Amino acid sequence: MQEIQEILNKLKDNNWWVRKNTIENLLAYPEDSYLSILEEWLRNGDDALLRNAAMEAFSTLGEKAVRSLILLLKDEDPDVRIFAANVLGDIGNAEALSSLIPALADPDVNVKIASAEALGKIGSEKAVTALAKLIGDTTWVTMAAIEAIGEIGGDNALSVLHKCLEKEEYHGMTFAAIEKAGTHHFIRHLTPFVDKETGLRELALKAIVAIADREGTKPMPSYFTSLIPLLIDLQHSARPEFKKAAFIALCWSEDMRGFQYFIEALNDEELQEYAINGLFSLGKRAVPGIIDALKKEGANRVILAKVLSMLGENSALLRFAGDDDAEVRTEVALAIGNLKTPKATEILLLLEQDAIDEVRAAAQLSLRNKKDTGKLA
Amino acid sequence: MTLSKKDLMSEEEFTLLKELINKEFGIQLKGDKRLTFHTKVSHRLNILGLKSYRDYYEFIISDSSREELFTLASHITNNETYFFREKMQLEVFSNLLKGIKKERLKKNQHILKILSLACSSGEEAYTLNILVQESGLFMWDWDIRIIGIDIDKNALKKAKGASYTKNSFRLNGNIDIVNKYFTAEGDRYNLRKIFTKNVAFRHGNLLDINSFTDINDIDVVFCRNVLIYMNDSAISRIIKNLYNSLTDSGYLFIGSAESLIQRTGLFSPEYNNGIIVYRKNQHRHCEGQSPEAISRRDSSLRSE
Repeated sequence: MQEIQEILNKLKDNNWWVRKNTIENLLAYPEDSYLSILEEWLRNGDDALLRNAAMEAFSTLGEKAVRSLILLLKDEDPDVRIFAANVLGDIGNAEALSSLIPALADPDVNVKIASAEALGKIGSEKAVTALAKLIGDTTWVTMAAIEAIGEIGGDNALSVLHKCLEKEEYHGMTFAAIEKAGTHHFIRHLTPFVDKETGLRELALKAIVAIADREGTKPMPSYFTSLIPLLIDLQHSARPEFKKAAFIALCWSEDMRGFQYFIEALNDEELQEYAINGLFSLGKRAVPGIIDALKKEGANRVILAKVLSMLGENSALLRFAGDDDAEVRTEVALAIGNLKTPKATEILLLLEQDAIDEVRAAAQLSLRNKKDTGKLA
Repeated sequence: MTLSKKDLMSEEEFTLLKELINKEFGIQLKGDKRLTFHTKVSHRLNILGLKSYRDYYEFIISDSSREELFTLASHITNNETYFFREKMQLEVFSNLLKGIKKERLKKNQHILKILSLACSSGEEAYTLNILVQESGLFMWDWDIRIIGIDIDKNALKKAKGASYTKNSFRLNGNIDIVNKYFTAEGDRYNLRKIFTKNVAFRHGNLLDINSFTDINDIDVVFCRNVLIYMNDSAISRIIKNLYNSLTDSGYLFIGSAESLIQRTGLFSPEYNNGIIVYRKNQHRHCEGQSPEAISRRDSSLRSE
């Protein structure tokens, strides 16, 4: 017992790292030996240090703490109940459902909110009906309920959210929830909002893109045709989440007006994949622009060279045989192997002497292929 | 024109290669990045005469020399670098040099050791050398050693050549830097010889302790924009390697979008002119031990 007490005392250490290791050590002991002490600490509202230490320990103990936390959810101190609900949500154990659902009727508004959030994290559809009853409560409670319903998802959740779209004051929170719970069948309910006023259309667009991207069911390019000015306008938005959604839509639009944004995004790890798709979707129309971009400083030349090669623009690559980047030269060496011109052979012979092994290997392969093709001819 | 990802590479093939890279180098490819992967790696299939990414995977795992594994890693890592990148961090570095010199002199040492990790084609390592030389603090009788480490042999070859093009700069019309430190030759900018001395490059994997052989007592480590691509266990291993490489008073710079806060007990952040620089916590040499174990041992050292 004294051993446990000594370990528990270390939980009060100022160093986060020491506290973290202490909790890990605690896991080696039976929980009966320390949980009641931690419960006591948590109830001790006069000593913030003890309370914080207990909170940290409960959060890390996870499953082992569930029964204690369910008990604490009925504590007379609302702060303790809020904390218990928060941690139960983080643990995500469905055992807590039967205690969290009644806690949605707690007299304390913050306990209600914490319980709704916890149910959202646990993600059981059993909680949707109880959560739906909170819609219409105060704004914060309604917001927490809608968010939780979005986290849970499923048909029942979506039909509640669809109904919420009828109320203007719930739009913001509802779109965010639909973004998480929506399926591609639901996109048709969002489309009318894209033509609505500023603010709403961005939210709707973001939800549509998130759902389509997640499900791998992007709309036809024509879906975006009338939206191009908006999508381009949003590339200058101060809200990165709107900018990103509009960028993805632009990539799916197959519209040349997106070209310059695709080039810029090739250096953005998060958007690179969409940008390559966008460039490729433009086909031959993109070729002159790609060649120009290849000449500029800061461009992602390896990807640009590869896109040219994938588009079959092998002769356009000839002029980049002296590029500073060995990966570009490699791509050139592979691509121009198909060209039956003396210039291509001359460049391949030069690249065969390159300082970088990979470039030489690519040039040799292309020269060999040329020879074999010549023999066959 | 539409591009079908699955025609280029199946999900299964992507997962195989993604997990291999994660296991061997700690690099995490987040999300479905098959197109990006294809643009960076497809030429290897051509050169090796392989038909599919499955064949490529088999080739890599059966290659006992591990050459192709390193080649793959060098292609999927981001090589973006340029001279004088993130100027505010570099200013802080310059301001720290005086204190670093003082620490060395206290130990009666005339040596300055700097590490540039994931150095790619050497722009960062040479930038640091320029700043050290421009400080005028280490002029007489000082042994300056700046070491760059990278996984990409081709990039290291370029680094050793110290010859660059406009792509290694973000000049925005201002060519002062180029005029001062480089000699122009056609479209190439060759770093002046005086700024190439003191700098050496070596091939290595930051996760591998062997890559840090003989690298110790370092004053400053630059490891920028590396950890953001790594998984948690790789980050822990790299941090331990960095901890062991640095002097007790050493400094660690990571990327401005990266953080070690609540990730390790080995380093603490220090704020310097709006920039976070990490310092070693005052433990002794660490080799895979928990900070608690170090603290225990430290207190036993004190009681001796």
